[in-house]
Amino acid sequence: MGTRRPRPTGRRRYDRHVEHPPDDPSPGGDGRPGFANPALPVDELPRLADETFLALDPAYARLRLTIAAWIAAGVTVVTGSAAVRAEPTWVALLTGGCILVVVAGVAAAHRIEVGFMGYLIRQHDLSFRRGVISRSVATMPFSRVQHVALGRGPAERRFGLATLQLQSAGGSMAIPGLPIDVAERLKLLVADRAGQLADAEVDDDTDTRPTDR
Amino acid sequence: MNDGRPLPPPSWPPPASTPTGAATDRSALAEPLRQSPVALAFIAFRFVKRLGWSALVAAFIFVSNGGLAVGGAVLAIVVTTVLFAASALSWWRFTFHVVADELVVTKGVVSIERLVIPLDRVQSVDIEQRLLHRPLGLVSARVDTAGSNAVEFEIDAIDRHLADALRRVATDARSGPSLEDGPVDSATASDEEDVLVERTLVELVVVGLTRSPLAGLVVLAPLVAYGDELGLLGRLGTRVERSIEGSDDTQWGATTLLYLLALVAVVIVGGAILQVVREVIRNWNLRLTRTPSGLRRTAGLFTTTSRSSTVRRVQAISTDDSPPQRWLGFTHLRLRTFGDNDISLPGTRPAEVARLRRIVFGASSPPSLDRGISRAAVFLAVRNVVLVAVPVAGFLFFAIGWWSAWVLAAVPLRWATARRRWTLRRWSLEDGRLAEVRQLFTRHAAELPIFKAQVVVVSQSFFERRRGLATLQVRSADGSISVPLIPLDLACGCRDLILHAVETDRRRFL
Repeated sequence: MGTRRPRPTGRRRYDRHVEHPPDDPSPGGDGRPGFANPALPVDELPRLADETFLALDPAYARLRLTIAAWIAAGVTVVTGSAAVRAEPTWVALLTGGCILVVVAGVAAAHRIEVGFMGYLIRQHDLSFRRGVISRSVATMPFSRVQHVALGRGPAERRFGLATLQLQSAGGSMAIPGLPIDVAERLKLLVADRAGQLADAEVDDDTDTRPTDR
Repeated sequence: MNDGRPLPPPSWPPPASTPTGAATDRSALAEPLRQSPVALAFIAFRFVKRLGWSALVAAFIFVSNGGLAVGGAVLAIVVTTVLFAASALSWWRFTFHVVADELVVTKGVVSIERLVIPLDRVQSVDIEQRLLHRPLGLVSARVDTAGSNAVEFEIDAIDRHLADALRRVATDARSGPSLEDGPVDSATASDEEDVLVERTLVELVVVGLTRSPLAGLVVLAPLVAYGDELGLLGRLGTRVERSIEGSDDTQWGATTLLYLLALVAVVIVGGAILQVVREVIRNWNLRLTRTPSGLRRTAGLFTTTSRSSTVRRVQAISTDDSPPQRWLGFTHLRLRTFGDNDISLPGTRPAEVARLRRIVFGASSPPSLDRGISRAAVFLAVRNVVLVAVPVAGFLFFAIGWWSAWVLAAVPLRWATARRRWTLRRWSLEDGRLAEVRQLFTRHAAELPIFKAQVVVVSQSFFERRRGLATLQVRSADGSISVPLIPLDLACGCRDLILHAVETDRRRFL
């Protein structure tokens, strides 16, 4: 008697698909490219949480502090001129002081937030992490990128930074605080990968062939 | 492809053609065509809409109050003339035709815009027949592409056979055969439609009656809100009190109460009738058919709309049903398609849902919905209410005394509703589908194939971080599913699984 292969136990939900040889692009045997979705142990999936995110350029923190400083300066000028005219002056000074405290708090929060921000590029997707109190990690596969652009405002140009903007059919993602050369390279990489993956897409047979008749 | 040579002049009326084949369709659309002159009315109406009704009303008031007393008529004539001239110019400039495998559209009033749309990128050609169209056998056509979320352009009034030809040409380009493959009998292809869903008048009436049974009570809101200021409620309360005490003349209070109850009944019935009328007008003769190129929904009493979409364009399925609809065993199904043309199917039976699910997802079994969310959802909801209700009750105490304690009644009420929501909130990730259901009274369920996900987000609020929880959000090209308050590890695992599905599946999502 030949040895019998042990039957798999603990059937997972994701192993209900037909297996195909990895080197056979035509599962139907008719030479047409098909879709294979072999069972995959969940434990062997690449884990995004294990990856190390890349920090943004330190100049981005300086940029945000500079913007906060400009706002604080504007508030100081406005409240200072109001204090000169106002009766009593302490009302204007108190208001200005409160606004300055808020601006300083916002600046400190920006500084801390930039420290938490980070991006990660993997072979098939791009992730962006942000948030201090509420945190989030958004991931967009390259195959879903509709277009990619670089944004550079006056302040970013002054600091040699750029914002990478990715647009998909289901929303957008922006990664600020990238050095311009890194942003340019990332833009090319994303556009290249998106183009390759778009070329590799295949039509779904169920789309044009009714299956329920 | 357009080779830059000058185009022949557009023509109106268009050359007559009979829909007998792809070659005929293409020849009917080969030369630049103008819309029917009826389109002028729609274009003018659009100009007025852009101008803004408020501006027109302000101008009318200004003139009627003596402003420009002498020149009022002149102003009206000038405005009308400019409006007509702009509409006429817009109509004259708007042409469309098919060259090789491209749809070429020229439009504009001041600056001329030329759109060149590859036919295989046309996702849908929706045909609509309004009342103004009917006597002349005209329709409007909306052409949608994959390039944007909005409609690419709209033809306000063209012959029905031209719109059908445009739709067939786009369908043929998408599904493969071209002129080089030889003539294709499009009429035969159209005849192979399979009716998936059909609604009778009785079914529409039942849907209308059960959609929001108490919606009519909304009309009582102004009475409740402003009745006191108008002196109605105060007077009524006094008379009712006197009647109850016996100091008022006979039966007045009881009669008034009866009238009030009758009023409530009348507004409920009135609301239900309006819902039925709305349902019948919108969904008269509703049919969803499976065509060789995808799905087509046709419906409408006064404005007949024919909406088509490829199956691939459907990004998610959602259902909404009120308690009466659940008791009667049907739901309101929406096929969420990329763009603004969702396919809406009221009164859908479970068998029809299963069939559409099989067409869209390739699986007819409903999702197991075997997972819940953390019980912290109840605590969070109650805590948020307590944080508001307690200070409000404290402030009100100084104004109305112990009556302010009634504000705290919101807390147990919120607890009860939050607990019911938490109990009934389920989700699952299986068979390549992410599904969720939410319910308090009305139930909302949604399913999306994970290979169509566009962006996956795992986020943690401060509340969630302290408890090791997270929110998983999956965004598709139309709609998203968000699962809050699940363990962080689970959320990350689901994200990895979804990303793996997206990145290894080579099927097109659109």
